[in-house]
Amino acid sequence: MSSYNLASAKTLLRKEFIEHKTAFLYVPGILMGLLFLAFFVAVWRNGAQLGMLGNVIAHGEGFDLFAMLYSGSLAVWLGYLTLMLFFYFAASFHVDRKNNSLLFWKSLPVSDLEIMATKTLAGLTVFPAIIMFWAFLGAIIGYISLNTVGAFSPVISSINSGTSFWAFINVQVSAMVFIITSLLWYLPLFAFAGLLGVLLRNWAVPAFILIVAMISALESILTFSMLSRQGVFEQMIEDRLSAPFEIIRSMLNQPGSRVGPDTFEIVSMAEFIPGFLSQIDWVQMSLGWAIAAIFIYVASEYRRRRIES
Amino acid sequence: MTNNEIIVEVQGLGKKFGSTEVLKGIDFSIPSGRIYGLIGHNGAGKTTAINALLGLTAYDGEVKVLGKEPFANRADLMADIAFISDVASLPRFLKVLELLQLMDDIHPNFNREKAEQFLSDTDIRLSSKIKSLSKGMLAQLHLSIVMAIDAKLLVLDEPTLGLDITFRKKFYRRLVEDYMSENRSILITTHQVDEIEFLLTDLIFLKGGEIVLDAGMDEISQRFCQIIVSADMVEQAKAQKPIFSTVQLGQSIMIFDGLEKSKAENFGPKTTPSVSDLFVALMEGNNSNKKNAQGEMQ
Repeated sequence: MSSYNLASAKTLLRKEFIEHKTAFLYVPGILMGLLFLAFFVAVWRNGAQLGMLGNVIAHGEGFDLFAMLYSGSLAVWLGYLTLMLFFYFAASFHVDRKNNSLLFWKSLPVSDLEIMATKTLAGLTVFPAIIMFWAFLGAIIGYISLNTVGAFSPVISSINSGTSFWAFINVQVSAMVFIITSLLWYLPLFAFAGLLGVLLRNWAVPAFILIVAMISALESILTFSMLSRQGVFEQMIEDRLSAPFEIIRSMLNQPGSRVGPDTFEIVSMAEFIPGFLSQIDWVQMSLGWAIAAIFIYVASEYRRRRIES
Repeated sequence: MTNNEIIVEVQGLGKKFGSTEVLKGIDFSIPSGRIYGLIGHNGAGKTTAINALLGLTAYDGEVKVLGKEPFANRADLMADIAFISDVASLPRFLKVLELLQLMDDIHPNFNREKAEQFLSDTDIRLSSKIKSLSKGMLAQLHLSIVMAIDAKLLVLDEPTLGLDITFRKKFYRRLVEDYMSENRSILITTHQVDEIEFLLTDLIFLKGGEIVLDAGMDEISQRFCQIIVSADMVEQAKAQKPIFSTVQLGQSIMIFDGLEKSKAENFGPKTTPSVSDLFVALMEGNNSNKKNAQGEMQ
């Protein structure tokens, strides 16, 4: 056994953070700063018109504007996180070879599988945590912004229910469960991108798209299903990509849902979390983890056997 | 570990890249307390042999390092082996301080104080980003890191490539004075053979994936001799089949393997060939006269 332990795992996670902080720390910070700057400029220049916006969205009852805006921003953050993680896995599994540090890492008492597993762990913990931090910071600035806007718009002020802290806690916890579950659901796709990164380096992302497209096309040709129906593989990929959002959609469409075009009450984490988790296909989830484990193992074996640049 | 324990044992080490046979079933062993020089032309198989010892590549044959098969146990072995295969391989996105912290957290035999002590003799600042360091500084940093590891085997593959002569001499002196002990072994490859001659205890010459010499420096001084042959003795000296002969400034210089002392004294002034002269002799010597030095030993 190598001397890999909790301390070395923490150190390697910190190394991953330092190496990839631009994509997960600096760029989101800059983007958020720009968005809020644009928002404040808009308020400063067109403050009087904001009352109209309030009238438009305040025609329903039980409308919590903060909860709605925060939920919307979390969806954007999740999109950003998923996209960046896809590129992270495609790049980080081979970045040691690319930046010529492979031999240094191999001089440490840490196995290739442990290195790969740490990279995966960083993708599922460190970087989502940073994005959640930005979401949290965005929520605080958003709350201040909302109250600033409220000064210009009595309508918005009145529909901001004053329960923002509770809204924040509920939305935040629910979102964390949703994001972590979604990332675990997407894990085989991330791991496949990582494996392609090890094998094909900079061509991993185009190769990923090409392989998925080619398999879909071949299946369509082989089964004569080009026009009549979706192929099994295509369906499987679509399910894998959309399942978490389909669950959310089905929850919103349920009778008695308190989130809709005319209402946006605070999301209750006590209701959301069990409801969401109960609809996850845990067999498919486990199967995905097993496939991801195989991809990561194969990637680590390739790294173990090839040191040539 | 007791003195003279075998650190590395290699039997029939072979490696092919496609149809090219880079290593052709070589055998050697390295006991503790020795400094081995692994010398050969580019493409002779030095780096491949080192990579096999370090568990960085698969191979044919049997290799044991500290009693373990390196390819299956690389991570485990790295607690007791330190190596530099490329001085430019340090992670450039880290700061020097972060690198020391990382080593301290990950490597069980890394001594941070010792590394900082080595670095205090250089111009490297702990707050510097590694990517901002010059090539020489990178090498100094990497060597400081490696020398702060309490390893039983230190492997250095061209460790001072690109460094100026002052630093090279300082590094090798420090290697002997501050690092070497009877419990450790060092394996070095370099093209600057003359600079490491004073510190080597053993030599292995590789040629075309085969060992052409594996001997201790004491044995080499007894076995090989270089003679400036008197003009009237040239033909007689040639009859003794020198492994290498050349004419420089009108003088015939020959290198012999296993020439009797009494005969050697008759031919002219005798010295022990330098490692670089011996290397040239064994690599490019008179093919008709050249003996298989390893075969002679056996």
